[in-house]
Amino acid sequence: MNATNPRTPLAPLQEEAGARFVDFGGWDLPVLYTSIVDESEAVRTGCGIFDVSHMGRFFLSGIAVVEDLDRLLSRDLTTLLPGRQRYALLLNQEGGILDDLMAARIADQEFLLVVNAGNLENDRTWIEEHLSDGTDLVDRSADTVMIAVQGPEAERILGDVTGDDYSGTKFLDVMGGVYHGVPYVAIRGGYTGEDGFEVILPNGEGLLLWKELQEAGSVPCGLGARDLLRLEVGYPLHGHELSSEIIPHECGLNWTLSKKNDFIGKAAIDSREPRYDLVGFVMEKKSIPREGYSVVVNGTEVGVVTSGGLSSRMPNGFGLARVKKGSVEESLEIVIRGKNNPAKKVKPPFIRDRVKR
Amino acid sequence: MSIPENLRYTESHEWVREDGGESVIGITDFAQHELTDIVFVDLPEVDSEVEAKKACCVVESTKIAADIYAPVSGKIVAVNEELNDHPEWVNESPYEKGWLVRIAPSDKSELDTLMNAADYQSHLDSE
Repeated sequence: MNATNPRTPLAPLQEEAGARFVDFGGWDLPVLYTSIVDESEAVRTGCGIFDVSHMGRFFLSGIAVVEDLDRLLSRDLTTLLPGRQRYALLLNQEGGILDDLMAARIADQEFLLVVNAGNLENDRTWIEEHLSDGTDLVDRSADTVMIAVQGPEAERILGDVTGDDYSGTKFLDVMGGVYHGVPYVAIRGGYTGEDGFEVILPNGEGLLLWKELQEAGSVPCGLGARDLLRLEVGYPLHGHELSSEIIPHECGLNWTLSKKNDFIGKAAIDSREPRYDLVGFVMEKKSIPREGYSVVVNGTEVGVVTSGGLSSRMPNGFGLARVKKGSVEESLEIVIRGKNNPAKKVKPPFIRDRVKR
Repeated sequence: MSIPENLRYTESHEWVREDGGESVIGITDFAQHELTDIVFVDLPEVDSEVEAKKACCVVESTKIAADIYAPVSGKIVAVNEELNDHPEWVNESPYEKGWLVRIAPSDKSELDTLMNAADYQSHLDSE
């Protein structure tokens, strides 16, 4: 907990639910309420709710918005249909990953970008510098909240609370609705690998939605559970697997690169030789790899663990590591408290996602 | 927060129970509550030597690996191997089933430097 950090508008309800707060991306956020293990389980078997209001929400609109974003982001956005969302990277001129984000096409000439909390200010400045005169960026991070409703029961519970029917929608669909008289945006997706929704709405109604979701049987979940769940499905996290020093080919994200568009960073990427691989691994014995631990192959240090953990869904610890390109074929060792612990390379996801396709 | 009267305590939240000239070590109810979700305990080798106030084993929660400091110097004479299969016992029963190691102390006067239950309670209140 850091007394100078801001909390989100939902903080009073979180305190009531017993949240323990930690410093994250300049915010004071719940890491857990009762137990990371129990909260992860709730998301896998029922419905968990996460306050993700700390993330940035930029609404962009204008006649040239498609062209602007197509140049700014790594993905081809000309083919993104209104009502759909796509994962994309924001790269610098050298091809380094400034941030990874979700781009939703709200309407023909309107997009919503959801960016990481720790990069919010830098992203906004960078994006604004590269927009055409006619393209408008409205940062609605402070006057809206975002609640992730995640788990096999999410569709039913959110539907009961809002009165809207989501049965006809699928992963990465973007929809609008009205909740207690105000419009909301909901995207079918999330960061847990389970089916679910991310709902954006004004602060006051957000408090109400959180309360109603909880009353309807959702379990408040913290960042700890969110981190474990995303790691199980192998989703990268900026600041861990990704950074401005790393190019997409060095972290398994070359699939996010548009083949036809001349986006910022493309020329640099085409000319740069990848230095690293991002590999998944599972420990041979019950030990927990953690960020920063060294990776060794044949007695030589080849890299570092970027994220690691232990899940009740797997017998042993597991994680992701950034290693020298081509250095890890099958087996590797993770140095835990001075001892080399054997591990086996595994292609993520460690656990299959269950999003609704 | 449970703080049994018959135990001695460290500032770093370990407890010691004197038992037949040996010292049984664990972590306090406060410590297990702070850690939450203990999922792995890395126990030392039996017969290894430990030094007071130095790490003697590691208790890992979902989020962090926490060093557990030996309250007294000496030799490890036993470890709670059942924790390999039941690390959650440290949460559920920190003073009984969740004990960690048993030490044969080399300098019994070190025990006198530890806190009693009342002092540990004041220590918690001041943290």
